[in-house]
Parts: sequence; C-alpha cells; structure tokens
Amino acid sequence: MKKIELLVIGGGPAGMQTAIEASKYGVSVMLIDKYDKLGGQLFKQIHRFFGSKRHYAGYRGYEISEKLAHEIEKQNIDVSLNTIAYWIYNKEIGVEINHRYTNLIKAKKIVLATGAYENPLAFQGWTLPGVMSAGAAQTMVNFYRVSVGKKVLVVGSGNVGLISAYSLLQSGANVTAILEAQTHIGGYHVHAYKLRRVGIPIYTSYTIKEAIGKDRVEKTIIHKLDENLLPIPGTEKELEVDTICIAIGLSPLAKLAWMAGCRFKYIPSLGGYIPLHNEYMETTLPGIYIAGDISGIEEASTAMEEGKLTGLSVAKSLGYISHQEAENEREVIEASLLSLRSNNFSKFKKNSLKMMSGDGSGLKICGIPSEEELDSCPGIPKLNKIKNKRVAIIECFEKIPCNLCEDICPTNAIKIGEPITNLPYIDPEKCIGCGFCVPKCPGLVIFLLDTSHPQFDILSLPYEFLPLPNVGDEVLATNRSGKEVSEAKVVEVSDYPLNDGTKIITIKVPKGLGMTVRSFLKKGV
Amino acid sequence: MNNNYIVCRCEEITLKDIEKAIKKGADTIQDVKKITRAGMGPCQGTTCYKIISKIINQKTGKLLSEITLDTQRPPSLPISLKVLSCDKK
Repeated sequence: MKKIELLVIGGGPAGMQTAIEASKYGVSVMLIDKYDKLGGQLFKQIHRFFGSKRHYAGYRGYEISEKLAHEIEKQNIDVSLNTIAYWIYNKEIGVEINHRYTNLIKAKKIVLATGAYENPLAFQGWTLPGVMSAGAAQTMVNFYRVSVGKKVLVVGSGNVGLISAYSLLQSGANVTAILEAQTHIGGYHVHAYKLRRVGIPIYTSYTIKEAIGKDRVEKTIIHKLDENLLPIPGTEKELEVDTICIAIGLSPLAKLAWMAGCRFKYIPSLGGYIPLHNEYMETTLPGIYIAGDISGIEEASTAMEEGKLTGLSVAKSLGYISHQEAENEREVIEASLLSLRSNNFSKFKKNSLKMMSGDGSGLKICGIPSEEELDSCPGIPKLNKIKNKRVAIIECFEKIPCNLCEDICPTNAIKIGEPITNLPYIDPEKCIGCGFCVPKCPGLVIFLLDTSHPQFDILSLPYEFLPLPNVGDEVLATNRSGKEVSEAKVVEVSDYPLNDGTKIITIKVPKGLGMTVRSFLKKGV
Repeated sequence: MNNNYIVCRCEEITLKDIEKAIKKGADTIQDVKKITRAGMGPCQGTTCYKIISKIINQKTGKLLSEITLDTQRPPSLPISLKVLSCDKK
C-alpha cells in the first residue's frame, strides 16, 4: 500500500489545478488519470476560451491543457496515467494501472475531480452506427483527425453542440442542421452567430424522432415540439444525413462519491445528482473533496478556479497555510469565480440572464442579431462616426465573462471594465483600425470596416476554415444569416503566427454593404 | 415502426423489456436492474441510467428527483480477475 498526503482523481482542468495549487503550498500530491495523457476533455477543444488573462482565456483548449501539464511537471507532482480508481473505502483507493496490476493508495485527503459524462438520448434507431455523442465527434475530428461523416445533424444547441458543429464544419463535413428542443438557443449566442452567418440552420422547438438506415444512418426524421416539449403530430420532416451528434447536456460523474457514501442532492440545473459540499469544496465525508464538473456542470475556466479553491482548502486542512492566509486567498478565488458565474451558464443562472431583446426574433431565438440588437450594441459604432477610417466593429451582444479585446487594444479604444461581463464599448475616435482584436475574440465577432473609399467598402473578417482563399479570388459575400448578398473580391489574406491559427481575410464589397456582409462563401463550393 | 429500441446497450435490454418490468411494479433503477439486467454490463449503467430514469418518470409519474442513482459497488469499472490478483507492492 502506498501512503500519501493528497490523492487527486482526474487529470482534467479541475484536477490539474487542484494538484498545482496544493503542491504550491508544500502538500505532496499524487495525480491519477484514466487516460494516457493529462488534460481531461481539453485535448479536443480547438476553439479559444472566453475569460480574462487569469483564466488562460484566448488560448485554445488543448493549449491550456499543455500549459497546466507543464506546470505539473515543473512542480514535480507525482502523476500516474492509465490509472483507474475503481474502489473507494474510507481514505483508501483501489487503482488499476495499465490494465496490468492493481494497487491500494491510502491518502490523508482525496479530491474527486472526475468530471462529467454526456447525456444519452434514446430514440428509434439510436444504436445505428453514425449516431454518436458530440464529444466523440470532437475527439474524432479534432484529435484523431478522422472525419465522422459528410452530412451531420447536431441535436442540442448548448455550447457543446454549437462548438462541435463548428469543429465538424472545419473538418470539412456539412452540418445539415442543429436542433434545439427548447424555444431558444442554449449556448453562447456568438457561437450560434458564427454558424448562422455561414448558413447553418438552427431549428428551435425541434427534436429527433427517428434515425433510419440499413447498416448505418442514412436519413433522419425530426419533429416539432409544443411548449410542454411533446411532439406535435404532422410536423415530421425528413433530413438526409449520415451522422447524428447528440449534445443534450452533461451529468456529473460521481460514482466514486456515491460509493464512498457522500450525501447527494438532486439539482437539475447543475446536471443531476451532486455531492453536497461546503464552501471549502469538502463533501459530507471529512477529507473527501470535489472540484470541477462533479460539483455541477460548468465551464473549464470555472473548473480551474474551483480546482484552485480545493487545492487551497486541502493545504489549509493539512496545516501548510494558516487560516487567515487561506481565507484571504479564498476571497480572491471566490471573487474570480463570481465574475465567471455572472453570466447565464452559471450556478446563479436565472438572476443575471439579461438579454438585450425580448422574445420573437434575434440572437436568442435564431442566432442572428435583430435590428434592435444591432442598434443598441455598444460595440458597433454609428456609421456617420466612422467615415474615412478603418474601425473595429464588435458585434458582442451577450454578457460573457471575457475581456480579451479590451486587454489587447493598444489605444484603449475598447472598454469593458468591471464586471468582466460588461459588453465591450468601442470609441471610434480612439480606434486606429489595427485589427489586433479581430483574431483575439473567441466568439469571432470582431470585424474591421473601412468606408473611406468612394466606390466600395473594405471589410476584414476572422476566418478559421481551410483551404484559404487566395488574393484576387472572387467570392460570394453573405450577410448575418448566411444569405448571399453580393459578389466580393479577396484583397488580403493575413496569417500572422501571433494570431494562432485565426486568419484575417479582407474583402472588397460594393459601397454601402460594409455593415451587411459578415461572411463569404467560395464560389462553386 | 415497431416502436422498440435498445435502452441498455451493454446487456441489450429493450424499451419493451423495461416497460414490462415497470408494469410488474418496478419503480426504481435497482428494481429495473434486478428484473432486466439493464445497467449490469461493462459501463455499469453510466449510459442507460438517465434513459431508464426518464422512462420510469414517464410511465409512473415518479419525480426524477426521487429516482436515485443505484448503489455503487466496487469495481466501478470492469477489471479482470487476473489483474485484481496482481497487487503491486
């Protein structure tokens, strides 16, 4: 039997951060993970994360996991990979290593950072090859670089659904539609917006009825739902797809906590059964702590902050840090958690959900900003104020805890301030049109508009698809809903290493269309 | 359309099997498991637990908050007896 001070189960963002924080104060830590690589689900996230500098925002998921893993290496934390915790009793954990032998670990403190699993959806035909969870699809296209199919239906418009749909598009698949059972889009509206402007439809109040095919999915039938989420007969539609990705939410993976005997509470908004825990992340069993999605489904940035909190609490309980010091540090972490949670995906959900437009149309319903939303957006300068210069247009409509654009702006033209969920305001006088902010925005909603030329408008757009267009190419300019509005010509393709993969494509559009065009399609595709 | 599909993929237990068990009076995950074997395969109910909860909720009206997880016993994942017997000191 191995005896240690702290055992952290799960090497995702929460577990890694717990290990780093505890080890920082001198706790001897062992970190175990089921897979052969640290990072949890971060390894397959190729999109940039929202947040502020403190939360590694602006980096892509896999980059964050590399940074954390590097930190773990630097601190000489004992890491055991391919290690499955299969048994827990008091403070003893049974582990299986490399599928070859088992071992018993006795720890003074145990942190369960086991994450979550994807909710299944059962329907006629759901066991056919071609039906998969959105997470599986992301692993295939983003990590193994294997295409999942040519025509994909995504069920669920939460962040996982929207982000996977985008990854699938990047992999070269065609996303036929995204379905959402609720009446409004579940995920960040900027993620929905970037799909809408390349022409991907999102059907709200729709769900899947049936998948049909002989050896694999060949087509699917979807139907509309009423306000009680019951199918409305006669609303069936047939879609020809070869792949169906299910993204209908996550549930905390709390088997070990259950086995240990922790008390649970059923909280649907957090994903189901959650181990009860106090403000130090300690469960009802002394010495057993939790961190990350197991304590309720949230984002990776929140998981990391929670990991810090758990690591700190463990260090305090083992006497490595005084009560006062720990409390001071805890206040800092709590404040950071609060700022992350002051958006609509948080534990304080309903309180702070404030959309700019009410019902009807707009971002919330269809993923496309309405006139009214565009008018009142503080990041969109009025046209008469931006004559004769190149200015950034920030189409950010939602209270997202993110201030990367404010951070990068060299002339302080972008203001967000406190709290971090404020919408960015742009001062067209101060903006010099440098474009630093364009590739930095994880939502890809910053554009550059130059209206100084008398015959045409020049528009720069963030672009993340391959193959890239060439300078001189004729393309079809599309508006915010993905509809073609005019011809356009590519005048510049910039790919600076600092932009970390996000290209900026500059196109020439007919005079007056600079505020209409938001994307483009290659001709003949 | 026969309106039947597999619910527990590991043990190949169908919707009809689950409904039959509920008709017999099963209204917990454990009842359904004992009658049908649903949730006794390699994934140990990780996938089908939520689906079965929903079916029980629809058929009996029992609230989801009252349908608890099943008792968890070691091993939480399948481990071969050969591996279990190789304890590294």
